[in-house]
Amino acid sequence: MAFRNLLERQRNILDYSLQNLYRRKEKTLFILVIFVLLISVISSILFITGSLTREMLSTVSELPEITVQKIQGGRQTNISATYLSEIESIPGVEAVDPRVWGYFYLESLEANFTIFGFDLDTLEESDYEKLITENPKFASGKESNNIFKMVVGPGVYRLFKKIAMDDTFLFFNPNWGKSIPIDIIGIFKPETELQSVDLMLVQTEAARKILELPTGQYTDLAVYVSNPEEIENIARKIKLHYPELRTITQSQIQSTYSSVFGWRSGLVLSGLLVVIAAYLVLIWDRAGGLSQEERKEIGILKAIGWDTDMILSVKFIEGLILSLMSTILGILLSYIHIYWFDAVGLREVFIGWSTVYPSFKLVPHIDLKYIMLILTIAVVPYCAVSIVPAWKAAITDPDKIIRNGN
Amino acid sequence: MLTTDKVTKIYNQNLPNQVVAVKDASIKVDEGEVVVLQGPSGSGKTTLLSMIGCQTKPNRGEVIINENRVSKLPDRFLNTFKRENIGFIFQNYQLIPDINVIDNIMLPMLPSGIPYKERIVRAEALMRQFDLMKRRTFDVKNLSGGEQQRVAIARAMINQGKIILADEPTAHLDTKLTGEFLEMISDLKKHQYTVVISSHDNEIINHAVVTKIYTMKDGQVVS
Repeated sequence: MAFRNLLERQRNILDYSLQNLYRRKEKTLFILVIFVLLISVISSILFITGSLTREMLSTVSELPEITVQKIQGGRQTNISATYLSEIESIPGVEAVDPRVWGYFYLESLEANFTIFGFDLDTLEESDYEKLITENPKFASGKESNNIFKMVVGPGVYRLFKKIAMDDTFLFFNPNWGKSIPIDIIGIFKPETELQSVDLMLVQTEAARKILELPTGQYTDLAVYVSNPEEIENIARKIKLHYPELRTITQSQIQSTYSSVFGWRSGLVLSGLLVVIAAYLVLIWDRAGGLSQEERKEIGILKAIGWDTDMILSVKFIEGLILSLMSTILGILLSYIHIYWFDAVGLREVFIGWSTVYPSFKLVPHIDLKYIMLILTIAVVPYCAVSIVPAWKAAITDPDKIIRNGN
Repeated sequence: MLTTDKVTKIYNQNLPNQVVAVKDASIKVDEGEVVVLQGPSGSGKTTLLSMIGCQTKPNRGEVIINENRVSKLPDRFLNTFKRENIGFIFQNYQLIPDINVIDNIMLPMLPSGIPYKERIVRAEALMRQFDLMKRRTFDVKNLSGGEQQRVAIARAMINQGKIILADEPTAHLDTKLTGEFLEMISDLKKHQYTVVISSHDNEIINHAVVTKIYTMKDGQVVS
């Protein structure tokens, strides 16, 4: 066959495949809709996991190399300031920061907040402008006192606004006998929301009062190490010298987060397994099995001189067009779902750490390996499913198919 | 031109429902002849015609067309041979109902990679010959029985093969349409086509255009 005829034959195959998809509009549309939904659910889960993992990695990189906690009776307890200088003297340790933090449960809002003690006056001007917006209500005139002030996450601010406490919040505990008023001088910018949604960055002295932490005691110690190769060694030394202390390295936190996201995405995927299986059975039935008319058509084509490979090519291209189109549409749909509509319906599963849910803006992150994975699980099996029954019909005597088709 | 040499076709061989459809059938057809295979239903006419038309292979014996032992050809070559030499008009026409007239007629040309313009020229020539131009873009399912038959004949002739095989072509036609069909066959004969028809319709069997008749009974050619 001349090259020109060969090209024309390929064009004919493509034309006939497109014509078939158009002729069987209902079937095409049915498979397309089911396929698009399935692909979009799977890719949504992969996208959200990918973006959160990326977010998590960038967060973890800012954590101290080693976090040191005191363990008493199998649980974490306050750590004494005396450890500070002792750990600082270990060779390789660059700095040790004592930290004051904890949680505060506000019954009236049924919300749990993270309180972090911090000397707000030490915050660099540039960092302040980058991370924090001034509280418009507070900036309008009041003068903040030096000790009882804080910066809150956007989720906290939204809740406080509801109860009209968006300039000064009154912390109250029946044991204290009186409330502690803390001025809200700023709000974290929305781009930090995933990390800061439920956070209250409170002036350290005030945080101590709210968390009832005695002077000379801290929640934990952040240990900074200049040489990353030394982190594990130093963590080992700390544990060796102070068996009552627990060390958590950056890489341990990273692997815990990874497994949590992996576990959550796995959980959602396995929850969807039954639905996915049902979809696949449906698609197998509708796409894979040939109808009486389709079988007869293959018989007719064979009877008028079509080659088996041409019939298979037609079916392969039909499957390829349909599955590729579904995959692209499904991926687009999930992109819109995750990055434009803030993963509505899925976000709670993945970021439900706190009762204050962040208003969720993920940075788009499309990993090529996810696209390849989706293409592999969608296109390859579907094309195979399309070809096998057509092949069975195409190798049968056309005479037999046409007679049975009558 | 066309011979079958003691061909036998057994369906479901070695199974409890085994059927010997054709047994040791030998016929000979010369170029330009119009031959009828006649016989009652189940006598093996359609099966013999299918073997001649390369739709199924015999279990024994040989089909020889233009000195080619077609029953021994591998599938790849058989399809090319079939496209280039044989046009088949099936019982019930076997058109694709939701494709329009011109596309149905052009279907046998697609595997050969004949350029689109040439396909259109050939198809339109046949549509004019069979008075189908007005129905050109109609889906075949919307045509009358007679029109469908003409589409089936046009499709059988599109690849310009010189052998036309027709299986019970008038089974569903009235007397007028049967007459029209026989006129078309006469026309084909004038143009040196070789035609083999399987039929038990007396109007065909007794028509002057027919040059030879083979009678079949219980899968065998009896006269």
